[in-house]
Amino acid sequence: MYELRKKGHFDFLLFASAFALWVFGIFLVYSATHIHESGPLAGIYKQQIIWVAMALLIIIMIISIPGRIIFNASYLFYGFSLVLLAMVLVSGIETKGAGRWINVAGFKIQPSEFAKIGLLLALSKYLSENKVSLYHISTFVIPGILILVPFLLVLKQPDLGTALVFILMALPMFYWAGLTLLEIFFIISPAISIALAGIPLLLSYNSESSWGIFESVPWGIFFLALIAVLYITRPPIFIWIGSILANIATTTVVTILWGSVLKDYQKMRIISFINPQEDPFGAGYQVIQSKVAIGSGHIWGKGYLQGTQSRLSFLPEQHTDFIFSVLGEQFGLVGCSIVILLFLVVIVRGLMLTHYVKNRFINLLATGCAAILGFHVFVNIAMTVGLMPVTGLPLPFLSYGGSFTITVAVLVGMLLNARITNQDF
Amino acid sequence: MAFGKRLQDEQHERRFKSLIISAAISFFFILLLLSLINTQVMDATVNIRLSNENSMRETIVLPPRGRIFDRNGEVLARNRPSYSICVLPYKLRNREAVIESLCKIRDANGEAVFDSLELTRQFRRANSRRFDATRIKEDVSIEIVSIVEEHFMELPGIIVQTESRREYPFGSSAFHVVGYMGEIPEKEFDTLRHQDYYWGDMIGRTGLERQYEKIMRGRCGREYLEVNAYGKSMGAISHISKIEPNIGHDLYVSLDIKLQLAAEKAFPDTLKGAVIALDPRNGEVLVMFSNPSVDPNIFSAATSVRGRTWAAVASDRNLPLNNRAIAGTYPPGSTFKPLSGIAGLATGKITKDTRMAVSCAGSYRFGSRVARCWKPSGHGSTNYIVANQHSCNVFFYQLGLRIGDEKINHYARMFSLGQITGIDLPGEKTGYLSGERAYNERFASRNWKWTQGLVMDLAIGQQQVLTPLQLALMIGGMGNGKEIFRPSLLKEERNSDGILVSQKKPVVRNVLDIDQVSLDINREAIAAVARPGGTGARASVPGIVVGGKTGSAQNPHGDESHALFVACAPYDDPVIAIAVVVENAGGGGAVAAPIAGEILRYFFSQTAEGTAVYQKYNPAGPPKPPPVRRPPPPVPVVETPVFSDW
Repeated sequence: MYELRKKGHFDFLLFASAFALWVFGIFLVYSATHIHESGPLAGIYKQQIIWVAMALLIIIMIISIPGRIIFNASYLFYGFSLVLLAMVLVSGIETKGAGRWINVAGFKIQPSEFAKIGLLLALSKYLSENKVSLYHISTFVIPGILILVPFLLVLKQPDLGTALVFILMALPMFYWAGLTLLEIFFIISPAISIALAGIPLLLSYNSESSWGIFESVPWGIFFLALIAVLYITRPPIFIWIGSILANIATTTVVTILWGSVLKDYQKMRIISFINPQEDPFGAGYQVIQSKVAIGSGHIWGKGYLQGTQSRLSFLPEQHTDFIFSVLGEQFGLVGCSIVILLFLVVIVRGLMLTHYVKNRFINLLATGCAAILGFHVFVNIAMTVGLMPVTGLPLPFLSYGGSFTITVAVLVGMLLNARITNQDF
Repeated sequence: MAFGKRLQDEQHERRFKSLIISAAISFFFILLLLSLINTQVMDATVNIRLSNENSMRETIVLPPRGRIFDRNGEVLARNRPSYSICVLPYKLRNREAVIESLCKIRDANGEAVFDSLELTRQFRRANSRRFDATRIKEDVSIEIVSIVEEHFMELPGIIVQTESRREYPFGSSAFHVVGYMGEIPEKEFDTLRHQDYYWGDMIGRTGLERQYEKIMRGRCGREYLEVNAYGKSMGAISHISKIEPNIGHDLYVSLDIKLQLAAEKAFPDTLKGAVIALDPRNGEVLVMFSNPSVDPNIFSAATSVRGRTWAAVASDRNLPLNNRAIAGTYPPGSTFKPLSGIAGLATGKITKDTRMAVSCAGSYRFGSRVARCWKPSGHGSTNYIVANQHSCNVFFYQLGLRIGDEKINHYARMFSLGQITGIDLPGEKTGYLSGERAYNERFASRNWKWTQGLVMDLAIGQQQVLTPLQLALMIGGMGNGKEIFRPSLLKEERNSDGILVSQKKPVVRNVLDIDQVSLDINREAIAAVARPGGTGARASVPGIVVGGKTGSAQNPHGDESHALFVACAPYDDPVIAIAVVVENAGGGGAVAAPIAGEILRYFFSQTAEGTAVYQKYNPAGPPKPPPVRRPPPPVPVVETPVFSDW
């Protein structure tokens, strides 16, 4: 570690991994679209090559500007990205029912991608100067506002997946900024309550036998555990009351919604969102085809350009959100593992900065980058293998798309920059 | 530090925190890896199979069906290409959009090809077999096919299939022999699905098409095509070779379509009935005509067309689908008399010169019953030959009483009457010979009992019901004198290259155990009928001695009697035997005999076999062309319908 710090002005391993992923992505985009001889998808890989070239340029640019400038411009960039987000609501271009793009100088850009960076910078800057603690709830007011504004703007588009990124990228940063693991547990416990109360309801909806009272058993156990944790750790009384109330309230709302408010068709929609197999020709079609594609790749894959699922158009969105299915089909478990390993290298190398960089802003930045990348990778791949509902989050480095490629390039650039400009501010 | 406000973290704290975050992310990534192992290793087989099913479509290649040729090589049934639009329901994504797109397609006349209501119904029906292609429009023009193929991308789940359809150049003329094709009925499909048949396949429903379905169908081939998500074929799959279909074999049948057309021409259009002609030397059927008939091409048309015509055909009270030559049962009437005669001769009850105790004075009294002869003035005292020539009922009443029902039926069976002849066509009827046992059994429910008097009816052919085919075999056997061959249509089976696969040998059905003297007397008796003065004089052929017998069978339904005529020629060594039945037409000599005569004259003057025989008998004279057919005279002359042929 010492030596690394000594000579590590440029993190070659991180850059190499990122570059390898980008190149791999170009090949996958080509594989996913090469059957199209005409139409909007023909020759799309060339566009991706241009994006990647731009990404490299951006990395060089970011490396060459002093970290101090980034630090100083954080709030500015945040504000700018909010303006762009607001423009989407005013003059957004609608695609598939969601307006996410705006036209800037002939380019279609996706402001929600840049908002990720904006929020990352703003949060990093704010948290580098302020500690947060659940025990002092007022410390959450400003970061809460910072998160909530882009969150609501993106939710309005509507793009739940990206909106959730804003919240989930903040969690590790809060952790870094002073929250204990216990406090994080209190924060996420209502979400766990929703899941534990909701999943048995979903599962029992279509099954023959009624679960009856056992539907509430998983949540009940969790709730008892929560009370035990509260009892042992003895946090301030408002946290006691707050977390117990929050957990009971969310569970009650879920149960009442399911029991008497939602109509059957709405329930079916939720079920097919969670479990696509229930609706193989509607929402579930993509995920089923994606699972078939990945699964049929077996250990070694069908070979490059040999995937029948992707080549024969069975995979929708295979060059963007479902690019991982193309990878899984053509390169099998081995290819998937290598790619996941490369992702891990990029993320962990980014986090390893913090081992020897004292600068809190840069540490928070690295944590946020890792969180953004990790969240995207997990949610996207989990979606293609049917672990999670389809949310529309792209896969970093591999998915086709200009705005997202540049966002990722900015993240990678900032990680590389942090190492070079280390402690000069 | 320039930024006093900025906080500094301790190194151990930084390490711990980054480790926790790395661990959390790694945990989630390991979750992904486990899930991938589950999908790509544990469930790999299932997913590989699903992927193959997804992208691979097994196409059943129906081989061209074997054709049917007549004895001179004329095509009776062949194939033409036809295109169908089909739906693969599991590929359908947006049913409404596809229906809407299909409804936009218009044919050359600007009319919509598809109807959205109809499509909705068809799609719903197709859904029960989601992975099979179901036809939604058949026999469409090539223009519509190209429109559909251009719009494949908008029509996921819609495919075009090529198939061949049956075509019958002679239409209704040979309908009852050739038969027709139809979709497999639902109840038969359950067994046929295991025998290389698929839903919606066409199958022979009657006639030769049904009888030799297996030979003509061939074996289906299989083609494995790679298809994309829209169902569009992307070409063959290299590593799975296709299975070539076995082309169905061609049939060469004994029918002579030219003679058949002559028979059709000779037969009155408006009347019902049947004509059958066969070669008594081997049982080959030369003519099989049944009126009214149906054009089998309508059954190969698109379902919509078929539905309309089928309703008309199925509800026609004249039963045009019925092959009257083998499935029509008629009282033979006087055509049975030679059989009674030969039974009498063979059993020694009469000889050539035997005259009956009571001479014919127009009627015969048996017990309390007075049975009439058709000629009120009577025939006087006659021997068998004259009695047969003039069809004297009184002679045969007494002959019947002498022989008895059992002996008559013994000889009837010897001449293959009242039995399944075994012709290679489906739907043959047995007929009914009557006689004491059969009668009592048949009418047990009505409590009718056989009486001796009924033997008189039996001897003149008013007790039995027989098929025209059986009558043709009988008269042929009388001329031939040695044996009766099982009637048959199939002569040869050849593969698509014309190479002989199998040949049908004549099969002896009955050996005629009758002495030569009796046979000769009987031949003379039937020859007398077709001579001038005989009841069947109108069936005579110049230069050839025709043996025959008229019949006017009383119709149990009380309408006008059926006209019958049976003939064989030449009478002592026949190469052709004919039976003609015209329903409700009156006297056999007036209506049926002229039809037989025209067929015979055409046969001996226009066909290869006929002219050869003609020249053998008439080395000098070339065969004369057949006379122009005259319409039958309105009033029967020889036999009056008032006193039918009792």
